[in-house]
Amino acid sequence: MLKPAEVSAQKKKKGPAAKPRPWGRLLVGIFPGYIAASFITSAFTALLPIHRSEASLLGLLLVGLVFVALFVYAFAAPSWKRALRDISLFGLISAALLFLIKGVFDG
Amino acid sequence: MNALRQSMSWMHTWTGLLLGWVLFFMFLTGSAAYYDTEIDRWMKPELPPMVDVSDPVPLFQLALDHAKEAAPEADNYFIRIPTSRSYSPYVTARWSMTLPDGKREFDNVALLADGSVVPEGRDTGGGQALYRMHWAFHYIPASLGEIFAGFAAFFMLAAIVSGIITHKKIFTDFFTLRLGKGQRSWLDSHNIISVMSLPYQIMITFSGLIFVASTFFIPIFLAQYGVSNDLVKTVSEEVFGFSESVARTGEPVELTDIAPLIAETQAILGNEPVTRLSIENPGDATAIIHVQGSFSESILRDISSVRFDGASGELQSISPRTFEGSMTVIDTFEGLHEALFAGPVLRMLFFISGLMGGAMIATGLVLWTKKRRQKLKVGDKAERNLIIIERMNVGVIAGLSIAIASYFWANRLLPLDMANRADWELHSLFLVWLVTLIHSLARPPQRAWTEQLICAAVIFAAIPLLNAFTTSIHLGNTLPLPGRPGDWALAGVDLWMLLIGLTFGYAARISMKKQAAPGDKIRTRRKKQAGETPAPVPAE
Repeated sequence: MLKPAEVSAQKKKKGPAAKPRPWGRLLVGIFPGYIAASFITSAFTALLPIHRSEASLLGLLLVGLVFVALFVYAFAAPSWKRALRDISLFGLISAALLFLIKGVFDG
Repeated sequence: MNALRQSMSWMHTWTGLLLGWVLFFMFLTGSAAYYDTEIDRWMKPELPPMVDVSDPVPLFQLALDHAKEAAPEADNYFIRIPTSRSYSPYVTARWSMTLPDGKREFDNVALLADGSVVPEGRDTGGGQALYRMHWAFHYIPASLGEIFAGFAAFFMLAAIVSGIITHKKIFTDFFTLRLGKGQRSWLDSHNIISVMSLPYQIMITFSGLIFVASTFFIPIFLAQYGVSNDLVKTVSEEVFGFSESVARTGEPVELTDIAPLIAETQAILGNEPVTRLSIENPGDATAIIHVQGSFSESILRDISSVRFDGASGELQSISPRTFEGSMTVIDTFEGLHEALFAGPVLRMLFFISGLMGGAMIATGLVLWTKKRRQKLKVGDKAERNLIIIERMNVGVIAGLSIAIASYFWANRLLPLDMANRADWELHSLFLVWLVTLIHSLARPPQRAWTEQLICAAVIFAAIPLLNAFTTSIHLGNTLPLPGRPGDWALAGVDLWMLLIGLTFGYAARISMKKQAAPGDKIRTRRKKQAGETPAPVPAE
């Protein structure tokens, strides 16, 4: 069995575990990220008491930032599966909220 | 926090690497676009100087008279008098006509102050081609290019965010530049360039994303307006304020005198000059005249407009620049992106910041390869990806610069009567770029760097010389001297070329030195890895 100092030396020698290639996270960040960002932004702007034209413009301003935030999360999450789960959940809740606002209140 | 920083560092590397070359292309061509009108003029050297616009009314009148004579049945007329940032330095009239088969035909003319038509000049893409290329690219449809540019802007924004999170000592690093230390020097350069121009990089990337947002994020409109066939029309009218043209009644009515309308608009706009006039349904009872200010007078990418009845001259409405709601924020970012409002000094700072954006991407790309190389142990063979990226970096970074310079050379050297000359100028750019890419793949990277940097230095620095041999708008005539006003716009293009050439010359010198003493440090490191003691460096 290795002594603690040897373990530490061996770790130093090997270095931190190399991160795998990022394709899974990239795909999660881009595709579900894009859809979720659109729903989150639209639901948020639909909640505001403003005309739909103003809501669209505000949405155009914010959606890029939300998209980037979700993309960053896709990389910061512990795994790509967790990122996919969380981003999809955010997107689904926002979509439900959007349809509720548009379907019930606008109607 | 460390785990987050590590993740962000990883993301920064990959997002930068994936679209780094595309972003470098966008930054370089986009930076040149800050001087698009100056390049336009430089590339048409045979044309007369810009018209004097101190008294705009006669200029509007002569352009309208010309348009009416050329196209009496036109659906509309658009007249512009030039500003320092106009596409054309002359008075321009544009019109469209509906043909019997329902198609629309467009035509235009550029006029001098005496009413004579400006000669055609050489067929060239000018600065507008570089401007267009930075978001629409080339050889692909513009709509596809716009989506691709949107993706690139998105990746850039993500790379900036992750770069900021990764940066542990942002203030300290701002003052740190260790030269001659291999990978460390590249990292310091990357950090210092990024931090110095960070506000600009955030602004230009976010505003770029806003520019393409209406194409890139269509679901935003779908969520508000629902799915319908009229979506584009409804959104255009309701969100962006575009209105459909009014149908003609067929009742002929003489168009009112435009001089009092321009004077009235000028009184409303105050200091803002009147630069545009558009007439819908001229000669009809439904005629409308819009008299407008100038885009280059405000940081907002918006224009003040006054609407008059075309028959009676009665003022119908005043639309000042919008200073409320999200549109103001959007207009401000778009205005900042295009910098039409910027004077000469601010424009130069925008240009330098744009080049720094390119340098930031370039140093990042080189840094990636240096890091990978340093990780290699004695006897390890470099991965194929590393070798390709290392070589392609030369062809993209130095090669694209050579290609852009060759676009200017093509403008002066291609025969003036050549068919599709403007297209061939751009083909020259891409052909030269292809040659530099092949060269970079065929040569060892360090040699390729040296050779291409020397080539870039020579080709840029020789542009003023080429200009002097082929035209009369060279520095000898355009540089302002006592008793001679000169022309800073044209002299500026030559001076920038010279300065860029000298910068490349300096970079080539550094590269040559490095080539002359290949890998001293690498050899020392490898000897250390192999357990040998490096030979002591003799004191000078």
